[in-house]
Amino acid sequence: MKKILMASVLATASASSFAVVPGGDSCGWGNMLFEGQSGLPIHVVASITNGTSGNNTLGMTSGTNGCSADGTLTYGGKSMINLGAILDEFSEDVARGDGEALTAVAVSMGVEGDDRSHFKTLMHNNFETLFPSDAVNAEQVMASMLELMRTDAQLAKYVA
Amino acid sequence: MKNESHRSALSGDGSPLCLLLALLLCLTAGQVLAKPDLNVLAADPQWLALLHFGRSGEDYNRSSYVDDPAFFLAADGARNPAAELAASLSALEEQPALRCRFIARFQWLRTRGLLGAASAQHCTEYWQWREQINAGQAALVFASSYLNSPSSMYGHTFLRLDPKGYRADSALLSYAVNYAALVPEHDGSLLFAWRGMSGGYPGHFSLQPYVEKLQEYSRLENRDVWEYELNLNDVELDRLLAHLWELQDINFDYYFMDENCSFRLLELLEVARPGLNLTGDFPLHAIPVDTVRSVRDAGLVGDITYRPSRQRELDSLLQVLSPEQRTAVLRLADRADAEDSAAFQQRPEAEQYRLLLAAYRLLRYRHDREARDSAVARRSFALLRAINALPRTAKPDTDTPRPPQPDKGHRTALAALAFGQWDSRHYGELNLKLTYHDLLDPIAGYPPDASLNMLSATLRRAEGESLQLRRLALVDIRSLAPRNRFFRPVSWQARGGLERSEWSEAYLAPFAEGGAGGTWHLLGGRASVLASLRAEYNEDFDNNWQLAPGLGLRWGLQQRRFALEVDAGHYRFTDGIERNRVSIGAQLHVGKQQGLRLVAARLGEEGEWGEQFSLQWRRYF
Repeated sequence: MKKILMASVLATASASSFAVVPGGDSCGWGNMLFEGQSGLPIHVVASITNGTSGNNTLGMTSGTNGCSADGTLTYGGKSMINLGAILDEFSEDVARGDGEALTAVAVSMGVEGDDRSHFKTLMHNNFETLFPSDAVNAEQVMASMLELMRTDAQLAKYVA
Repeated sequence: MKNESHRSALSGDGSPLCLLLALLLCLTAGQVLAKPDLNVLAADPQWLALLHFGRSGEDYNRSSYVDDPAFFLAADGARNPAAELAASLSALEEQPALRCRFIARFQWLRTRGLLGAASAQHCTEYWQWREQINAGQAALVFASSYLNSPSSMYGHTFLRLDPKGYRADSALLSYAVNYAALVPEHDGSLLFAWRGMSGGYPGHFSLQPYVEKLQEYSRLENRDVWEYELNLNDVELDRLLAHLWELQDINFDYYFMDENCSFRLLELLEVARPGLNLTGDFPLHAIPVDTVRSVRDAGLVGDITYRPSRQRELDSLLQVLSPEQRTAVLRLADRADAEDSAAFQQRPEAEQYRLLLAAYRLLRYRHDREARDSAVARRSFALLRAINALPRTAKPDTDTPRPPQPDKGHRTALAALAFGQWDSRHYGELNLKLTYHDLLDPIAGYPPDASLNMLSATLRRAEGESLQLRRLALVDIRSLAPRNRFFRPVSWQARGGLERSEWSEAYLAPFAEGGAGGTWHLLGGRASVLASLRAEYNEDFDNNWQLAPGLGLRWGLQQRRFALEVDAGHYRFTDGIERNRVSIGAQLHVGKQQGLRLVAARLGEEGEWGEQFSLQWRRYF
C-alpha cells in the first residue's frame, strides 16, 4: 500500500487520472461502520494520554489512528483527502446530502464552488451506488464516485 | 526595540559619516548594511526567540528551553546566545547544508545583513514539505477540558495550518501542528501524570491531518473544539514554518504544568511575529485557556469557530424531542426494521429525519470506541439508507447552540476572602488557589458538571487566635455528568491534601479520597450519589491511620448568574468515629471575574453537632 502511495506522490507530474486511497487496512476509527477496517486502534491509549507514540514528527506520519503514514491521496496532481479516514463522516453526509466531509471531498477533487451543490446532489442521489453495503471499502467508494462524475455532464471535466 | 539595536549596533562602528550613511540607508531601505555588533545582535528579541530563551515578564531566561544539543551549534549555545550566534555565523557560512537545516536562523541572519555572501541553498526537502502543507493561514485550536484524562484535564491547544486557495474552503483538508510528550505505550495514566509533571518525557512537534485530530477530540473524547483563526500574514507564516522545520526531531523536556503543549505554541508565535511577548505571561504554569487569552489579547485572533463534540451534537438533537420521540429514537437504534413500521412511516418526513439521524448518531456514539461489530454496522447502515431515502428538503442542517467561548470564562487563579462563624466564634479566612474551577464558580466558558482544582491553600484567623493553615488541597476533582437513557457516564471524585477538622483543630491531617457513583437530572438541576473511601492520618485518632468508607449526596444547579448546591457527606472511620456534614452553598456571579459565595453548614463528629456560616468574596485573576 505504502509503495503505491509513494508512487502516486512521485507520479503526480504525469497528471493522469488515477486515484489511490491511502489509509491501509488497519486505519483507525474514522471508518468503523464499514467492513475491512476494524478494531480499537492500539494507539488510542496514546491519544487518551495526550501523548504521541512512535516516531511521529514533521513528516506526514499519521498520529494516532493507525492510518498509513503519507495520508495524502493525489488525484490528477492534486492531493486528496484520505477518504478511508473519513468514511463514516462522508457516508453520513452523502445520506443527508450535505456536510463538511462531503464538502472536503468535493474541494479536494477540485470541484469548484458553482459545481459543488451539484456534486452533493449527485452523491446524495446515488448513495446506493457509492455504498451498496456495509462491506464496501474506501477504494470501492472512490472508484464509484469517479465513475459517477465521469458520466455526469457537469462534473466530467474534473475527472477527465 | 528593533530600532534601538540598529542604533547601538551602528554606533559601535565609529565613523560619523558611516553612521549617517547607514542611518539613511536604514531609513530608506529598512536594511542594516553596516556590520552589527554581535553582542547586541545576540540580545535581539528575535534571536532569543529563535533559540527559545523564554521570558518571565519582560526579562529573558538565562538558558534555552530546548533540551537537545542537536539544536545548538556552539557547545554552550543553550546558555550563551552570543556564542551560539558566532558559531551559527561561521557554520552557516562554511556548511551550505546547514542553511537548510536551520532555515529560520539563516533567513534571519541574512535579513540582518550578515551572511551576505552566503547564498541561499535550494532546500528541496523543505520546499517539498512546504508544498505539501501549502499553508495560507493558521489557527489556534483549543480542545476543551477532558476530566477523564489526566493530561487533558485543562484542555489542549495546537495549531492548524490551512491550505491556500480553493482548498481553504474545507478545514478537513488542513494540518495540525501538535506539541506533545512522547509517551511509551505501556505508561498508564498515573505514571504519565507523574512523569509528565517532572519532565520525564521528551516533547516533540508533530504534524498530522487535522481531521484526525478532530476525530480524536470530538468523537473519541467528546470534547468541544474551538478554532481561533490567527491573523498571521504570509511573511509571519513563512517564519513560523521555517522555524518549525528547524525543530524537527528536536527534543524539549515536557513539563505538564509549564513547558506544555500550549506554552510551546506561544514560542512559535513569538518567532512568527517579532516583538510579541507571550511566554512572559507564564513564568510558572501555562493553562491552555490562559494562553488562548494571551494570544487573543496580543491581537492575533480573527474569527472564532465552534465545533461541538459528537456527544453535544447528539444531545442537542435529543433536547428538542419529546419523551415519546426519544423512545422512538432508542427503538430505531436497537431494533431492526423499526424504520419500516407503519407507525414510524406515518410521522412527517422532517420528524422521521430527526429521529433517524439521532438514532444513527447514537449508535455511532455508543460504539465509537469499540471494535467494529457487524450487527451494529448493519443497523447503522440501514439507518443511513433510510436517511438517504428521505427527500433532501426534509433534511435541513441541524445546528448545535454555541456555548460561551472558553476565553470569555473566568480566569483560572483565585483569591478569596471570607468572613465566617463556627460554633459562635468569628473568623476571617483567606483562600488562594492556583487553578481552576469548581461547581459553584461561573459556568460560562467551562464544561458543565466538572470541578477541577489544584493547589489551593486556606488560612484562617479566628477570634483570639493566631493565623492557622486550615487546608492545603493538592487535588480536588469531581466529574458529575448526568446519566439518562442515552448517556451513561460514571460520576467520580478524587481529592487529596491536608485538612484540619473543625472538631479537632490541633492536627493538620493528610488525607486522600476517591469515590464513584452516578448523577441524574432532578428538579432542573443534577442529583448525585457517590460512594467513597477516605484514608486519613490524624494524630487525634487513637490509631493514627484510618480508613473511612463514605457516602455523599449532592444536588446542584449551574446558572448563568448564580450557582446553588446542597451537599451531604457521611464517613465512618475504622475505629467507629463518624463524621457528618450537611451544607448549602450559593454563589452570585458579580461581573465575569468576581463572585459572592454564601455557605451554611452543619457539621458533626462523634455525635456532636455545630453550625458554620461564611460569606466569601471571590476574585478570579
